[in-house]
Amino acid sequence: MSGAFVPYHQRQNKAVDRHLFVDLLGRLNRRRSISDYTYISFGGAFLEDFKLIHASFGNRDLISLEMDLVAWKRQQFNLPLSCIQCLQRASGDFISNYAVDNNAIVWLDYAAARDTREQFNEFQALLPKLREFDIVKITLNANPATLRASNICDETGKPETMEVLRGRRFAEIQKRIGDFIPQEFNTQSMTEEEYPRLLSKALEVAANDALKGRPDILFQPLMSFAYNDSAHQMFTVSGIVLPKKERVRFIADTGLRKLKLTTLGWGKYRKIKLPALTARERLFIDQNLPKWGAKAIQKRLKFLFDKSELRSLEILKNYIEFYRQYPNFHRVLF
Amino acid sequence: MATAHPRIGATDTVHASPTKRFFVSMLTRDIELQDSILDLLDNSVDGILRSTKNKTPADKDKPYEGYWAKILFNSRKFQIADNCGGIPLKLAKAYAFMMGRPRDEGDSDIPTVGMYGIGMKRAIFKMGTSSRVVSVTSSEAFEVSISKAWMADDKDWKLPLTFIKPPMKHAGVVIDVEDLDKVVANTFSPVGSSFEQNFITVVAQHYGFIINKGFKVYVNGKLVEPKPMTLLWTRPSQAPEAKRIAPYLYQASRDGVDVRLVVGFYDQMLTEDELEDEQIAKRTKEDAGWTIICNDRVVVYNDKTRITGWGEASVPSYHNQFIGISGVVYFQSNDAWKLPVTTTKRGVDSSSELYLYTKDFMREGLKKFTSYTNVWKQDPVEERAISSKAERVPVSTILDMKPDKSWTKVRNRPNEFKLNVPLPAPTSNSPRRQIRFTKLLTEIERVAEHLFDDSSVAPNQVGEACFDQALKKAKK
Repeated sequence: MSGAFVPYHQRQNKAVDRHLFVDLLGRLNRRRSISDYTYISFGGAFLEDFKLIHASFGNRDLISLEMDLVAWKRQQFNLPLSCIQCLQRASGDFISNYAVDNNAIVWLDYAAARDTREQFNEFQALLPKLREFDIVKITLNANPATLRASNICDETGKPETMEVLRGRRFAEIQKRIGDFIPQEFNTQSMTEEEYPRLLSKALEVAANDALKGRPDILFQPLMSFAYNDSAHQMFTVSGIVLPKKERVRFIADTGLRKLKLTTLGWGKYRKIKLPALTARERLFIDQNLPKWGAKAIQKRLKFLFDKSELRSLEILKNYIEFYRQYPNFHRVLF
Repeated sequence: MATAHPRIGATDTVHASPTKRFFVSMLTRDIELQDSILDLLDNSVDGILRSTKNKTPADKDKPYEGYWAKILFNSRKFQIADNCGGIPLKLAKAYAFMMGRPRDEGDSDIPTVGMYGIGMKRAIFKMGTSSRVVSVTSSEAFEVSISKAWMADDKDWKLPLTFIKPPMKHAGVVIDVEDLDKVVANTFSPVGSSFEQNFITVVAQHYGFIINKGFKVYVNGKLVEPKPMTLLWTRPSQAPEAKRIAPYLYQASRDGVDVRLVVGFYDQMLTEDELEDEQIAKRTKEDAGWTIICNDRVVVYNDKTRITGWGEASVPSYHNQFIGISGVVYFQSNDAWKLPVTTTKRGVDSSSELYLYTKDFMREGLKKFTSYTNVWKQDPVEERAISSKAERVPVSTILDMKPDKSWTKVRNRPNEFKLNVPLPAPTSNSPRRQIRFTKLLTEIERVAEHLFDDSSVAPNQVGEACFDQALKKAKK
């Protein structure tokens, strides 16, 4: 699966993830001049994140990596800014020849579900080449069903039970990245909730192993999210390369701990699961925010989002958590 | 002024005594941090063997049941604590703290792995400059402290031993190391280091057999789970004799050492396409290769080099086609000196006569399975059908098997047997050949779209469908 043609700008959960990343960069801007960073990402045909970064910080060095010839050509037609350099190059190739001579923000926005190993390898190859305070965001497919589909029948023609299926899925991810998976994970980890945790812990081991030769620095995770816009759950971690000695001070100076949506440890993440709301519903809820909590608003709404009151409350809570980043889609005539 | 030349024939002496710096900096350089901690675990296991010497275990299969070792580390300190019987005073006084172990002392009649008596000191020196060793046995409790000052003094080769009130109820050892070396402290730190995770994996690999026999190892509070090792073996009820996969087995008793060997497939062989994937992104589950165990302790793990017979005599060198082949050789003896193991216990003594003799059988077994992958690579579909009938049998079960009628005597010797059942061979009279060609990806995708309405179909399936269509036409 290639992500080149997916209209990401219409995906609300991904849009929230992207806005949160910009919020995070805004925080880091307290200590580092984000506008001087080179921004590198897989822009796809629409280059949505490039527009956002440039609009927020005014970065002038922007590099897009795109392998697909058709998408690359379309990209150049769409080019929203003159300072975006569109390279027709694979990320692995770019990393092998990495030669950015100032601080960089690199977003490894992987879409392919099959190539977990290659994606980990690239992440590992990139880290030791980075400078202190470089920022990396990595996005991986976190849908356990991509490890083995759930409608496969065994030799006797019966569909596989969940237990067998989870076993096979775990064997597959073990085959791919087993050397990074801590012992705490097993076949029971092959659920939508646990699989992102497994990936997070595996990324920790991969990052630490990759930086063995540079014991003075570490890759510090800052935000981790799982979200789901279609059939595929995605998992993403944003982090920064920090000198070990400065870690505590940097986190204090940037006020990261106070930011509600940060995740400063591995093996933890937040779920972005925005409810589909009508404009009227949104406006009503927003009028009550941030003063009132989910329960009070639920009461005022006089209806539920789900048959179960508890689940309805969950939906509302999730909206409240991310309402500032909730995207609006409108029909616009140019 | 001219110097006076010494008189010819006059004698003097020079210093040849060791310095502590030699032990601290040279000795510790030869060993990896994780291996030096494994040395401490070996000592715990030897403690169990000493404690159970004249006892029969309640469960024959679980001789280490009830014993544990707990390892804790962080950027400030290291600790290992066990309940494995403690260091007997006699042993402590005789050699436990000496640099190297005299040839003959107390443990010659138990199957220990620690035979050079260097492990504990080397581990301590590797990690830090001050340490305390507490031992509690059934008869006494004492403490030996190694201070920074002692470490710096080349003249003082004695360590103070103080008898103490037992600080714990069970017999065992507690070793604390503080004033950690900077690199070690960094490695032990939970921030920016994955040493804990990697160490758990190493313990699971090297102590798998011991843990399976009841021993418990905790690393920073986490119980280490052994890594299961299995090999493919087809039950008689599952397939006719000519279609069964079975491992190659060899057992012998030579000069006080029991040798048990097994080699076979731990997983199905890979198809050409899977092999190609391997080339691009190397997979991690490198479970292939030889594992050598001496007295329950893994000394070589998944080796794929000449050391274990790969690329020697008629055996090909290891490559991905052989990714499913795995073997274990198990040596056991009450006399640790007879085992083919190197001083670091992290390698096999490849010049040992016993090992060289055994290696002939390792190669014979290897050759059998490498040949199998060669003859079957032309017909992966049929091979899959055969190997998917096989079950995964634990290696420990296979190693415990007693030779029966199906085994044969080796060179008619009374103590040597092997089980060498022929593997399935292709029976088809019409030989198969593989077709390989390279085309532009855009063109393959176009044909895939045309044939399957899906451009992501694997290239080999596209090629095969084209061939099938052409064949159909040709037959008309």
